[in-house]
Amino acid sequence: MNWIRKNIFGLGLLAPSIIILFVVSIFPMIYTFYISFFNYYLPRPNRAYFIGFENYIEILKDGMFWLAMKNTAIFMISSIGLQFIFGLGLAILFYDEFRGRSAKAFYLPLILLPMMVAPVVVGYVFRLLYLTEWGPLNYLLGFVGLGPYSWTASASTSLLSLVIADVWQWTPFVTLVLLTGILSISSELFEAADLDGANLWQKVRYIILPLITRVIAVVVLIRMLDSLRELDKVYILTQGGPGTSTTLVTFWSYLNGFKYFKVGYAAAMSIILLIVTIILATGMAKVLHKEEK
Amino acid sequence: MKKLLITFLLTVFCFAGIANAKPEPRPTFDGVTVTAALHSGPFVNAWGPHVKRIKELYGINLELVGIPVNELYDKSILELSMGTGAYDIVQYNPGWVGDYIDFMRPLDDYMDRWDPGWMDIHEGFREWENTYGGQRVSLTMDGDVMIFYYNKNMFEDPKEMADFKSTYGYDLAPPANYDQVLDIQKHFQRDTDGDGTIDQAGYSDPIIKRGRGQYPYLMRLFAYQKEAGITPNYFDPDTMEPLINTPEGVKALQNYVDTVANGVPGMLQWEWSEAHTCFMTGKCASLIHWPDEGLMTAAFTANTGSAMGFADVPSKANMTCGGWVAGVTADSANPEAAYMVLDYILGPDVSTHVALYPGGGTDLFRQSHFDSAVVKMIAPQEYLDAFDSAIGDIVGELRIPGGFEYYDSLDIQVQKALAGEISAQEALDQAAENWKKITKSLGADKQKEMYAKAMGY
Repeated sequence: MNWIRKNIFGLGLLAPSIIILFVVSIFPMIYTFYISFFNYYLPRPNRAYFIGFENYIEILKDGMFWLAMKNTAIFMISSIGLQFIFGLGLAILFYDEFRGRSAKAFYLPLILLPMMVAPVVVGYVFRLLYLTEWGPLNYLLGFVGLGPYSWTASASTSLLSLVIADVWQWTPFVTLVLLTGILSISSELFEAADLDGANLWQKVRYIILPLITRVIAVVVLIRMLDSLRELDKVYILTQGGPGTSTTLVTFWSYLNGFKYFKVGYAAAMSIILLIVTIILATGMAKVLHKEEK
Repeated sequence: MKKLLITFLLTVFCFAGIANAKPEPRPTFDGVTVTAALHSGPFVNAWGPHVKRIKELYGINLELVGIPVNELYDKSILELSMGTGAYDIVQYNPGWVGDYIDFMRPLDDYMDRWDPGWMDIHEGFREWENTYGGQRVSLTMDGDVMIFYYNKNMFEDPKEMADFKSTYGYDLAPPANYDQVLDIQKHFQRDTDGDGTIDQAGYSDPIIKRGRGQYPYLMRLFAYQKEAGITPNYFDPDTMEPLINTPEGVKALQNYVDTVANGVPGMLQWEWSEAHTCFMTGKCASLIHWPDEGLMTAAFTANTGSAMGFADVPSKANMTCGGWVAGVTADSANPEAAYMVLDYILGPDVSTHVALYPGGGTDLFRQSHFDSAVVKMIAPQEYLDAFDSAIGDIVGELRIPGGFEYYDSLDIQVQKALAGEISAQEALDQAAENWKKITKSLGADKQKEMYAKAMGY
């Protein structure tokens, strides 16, 4: 009691944040966990009943869930891989710019623009770009004798279409974070490397990558978590199709919760996703911790 | 000149309708607000011009909330199940009624007191779309049904006819079954500009894209069931065993897969507008679609130089493939006022104007629409006959709880087969398994009872 009386002012200042956090985050999470044990069909809310772990068992037996997880993993790995490669390349390019030339003032904001666009808008823009007959992408590819491709209408290219849109949107973010990491490296190291006659690849391999490992881990972790909850572009571009080729796990969860109204089932899927997220985050935290040691 | 005259008369007619429609004396509701959740775009546009007149006649402030068609089900169910009272009127697909019914108000009392022209609603829609468990719960707002359209120039070209006959051994004509649809597809599939890409198709289904792609499969299923002498059905009504993965079902899906595969690139992503455009620009020789095109014959001829042909869908196995009704919500604070709005807009007088509203998305659904002099002036008699005949062949939507999920889980598997991920048999076996799971989770006995009610057994 004394402690509360002593800290009443501080607690009063914290209270609004704690209340908001509880209302918009903690309570929904607890409630999600609670209803994940119910057969809860939203159009019949009064007929919900307790079924223990049945939703979890059903999800683990659900072929669509595993297919969605597989699609998500492919999407995540290819998308983040490409973002990292392009992001690192651009960061190195901009690092050179930062070291003297002034074009950075023009190019850097320009390249960051995709990141500012709402994912839904990105979805709509790419939907137009990917049109088979009238899409600009096929039109341009036609000049080099390629295509036309049914980008989002073919099971073999639809996931790639999502990856391209995601890479376009989020490479700037990866670039920005990696650039910050490179800028934190002492310029003396690069000068010494120049004196030793190191080429670009040697500088990347022996200076940049080892010294920005933690930055890389952070940006990869952020992008992994983003990829796990990717929904907008799937919704706008493909609706999970053709077939199930672009059904990512969040879209499957969305369908169950907001289209089929199997709220208990969708809640259990969210909890499973939360566990996957925690495992990924913990894994990355261990990488960071190891680097610190 | 004729086109100009028709446009002028149509415009005058639409606006005259707003001013002159004289419903029977009805109560007034001064200052009461009625909120209607409608399919954004066409339906909001078509209802919009009547807001002012409703205010004048009944004192009702009608607020129209437009919801994108793909979100209409989930947004309205969310509001209704939470009991927010946000909407007094909701527009829904009759196939969703199993999920809506607990949240809708039976309209028998109102209809008995103020007849909305019930018997004038085309008999092909009247009962099955609007009654549930013996009660009237909605009013038809759109006369959806499928019509086979074809390009007469292409179908009646002597060379095409001779080539077709020599290849397939029978005359080129509107198809009697879906095997013939596939032949037509293959026959007209061409690279017309020689750029190495197929740009002309013989046929397009109304919607193929994920979301509503199950409909072309279901129409084929019912067609093959009819051909095999089986009454069209989703389930065995005695056991609730799904009938989608039967030999008829597999033939149906295989035909659908082959037809799309022999179309034009990108067809897998086609929705209403792509199929419509393909036919209206002469890039598809034929099309199964909703009745909209029949009121656009002038535009079709201007684009293609051909007359538009109309016929029954293959095997006369028809569906609304959606369709729209509107009802009054159970938690409406002003149900009588909400009913008056429906009675006014969907009643015999005004609904003709709504149905003819350019781009209004509403197809003829009352007998009086078919008898209307203005309709007869715009639409070819051949079209009206085909339309009228098609309504008589409708197999009802799956009007049981979980209807949306049954359809969607079927669509997922159909899409997998269309995309070549799995075979037709595998897709339908999986879909049937999913249907069994849905039935089990919603209570097999209850579902059986609801299915019997919905199908009129």
